[in-house]
Amino acid sequence: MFPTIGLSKALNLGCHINVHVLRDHAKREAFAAAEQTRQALRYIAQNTQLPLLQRTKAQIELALMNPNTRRMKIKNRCIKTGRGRGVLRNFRICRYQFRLLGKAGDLPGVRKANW
Amino acid sequence: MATAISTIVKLLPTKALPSRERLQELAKTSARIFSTTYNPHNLRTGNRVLRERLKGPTLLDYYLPGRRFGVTDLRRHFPMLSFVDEEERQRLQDVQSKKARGKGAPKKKKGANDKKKKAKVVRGSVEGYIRAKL
Repeated sequence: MFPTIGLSKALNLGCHINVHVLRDHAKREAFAAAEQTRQALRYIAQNTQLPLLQRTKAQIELALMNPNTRRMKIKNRCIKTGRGRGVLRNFRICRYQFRLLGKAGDLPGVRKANW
Repeated sequence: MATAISTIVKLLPTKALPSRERLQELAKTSARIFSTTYNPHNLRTGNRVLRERLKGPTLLDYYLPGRRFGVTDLRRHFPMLSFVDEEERQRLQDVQSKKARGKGAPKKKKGANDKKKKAKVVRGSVEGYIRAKL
């Protein structure tokens, strides 16, 4: 009825934790666990020298895999607040935290523009 | 990738082209010697997929790397030893002190709870629902 996401019991995240972060981390674990299977199936499906039936079977199997094992389900979230939007990829924090930490001088090489 | 026929032609000393079959043979031999792929018709072999690096480990490290090994892992790897989880101990202590001050979690209603349980059993697996909600 509902798709389930398994989260490993030994969870040691060093960042702000809320439900969204947990959910995203579970998706990351699912992706990492299924990545090799996914690549093998993709190889079979994209290899034009293999028989058509085998390739179609691989395609169907890929489509039937748990959607949470897809790369696109993973979203980078802010590690300070867990916010999902306005996250600066290089710093992994959201724009407001970037402002606060940058002004406090906690981000190396970041200073407020002044001219 | 395989040595393309055009590159071989450029390397040839004379401008007069050998026959196509000879050139293909040459490409094949060079592929065999230098152990590269010989794919004259540029067929899709899916090798592109095999060449991709695995992204899983990098993606797993997003929420602060290096903190993934904790007390829980220590307990699992060394079951004969005992480890103190300081954070968990503190949390339990806080809960106890709150209870002692009369500020613990409220007791659940018994009657309403039974009704809810019955309704959920009818709908499907309760555990799956809870796990999906995390």
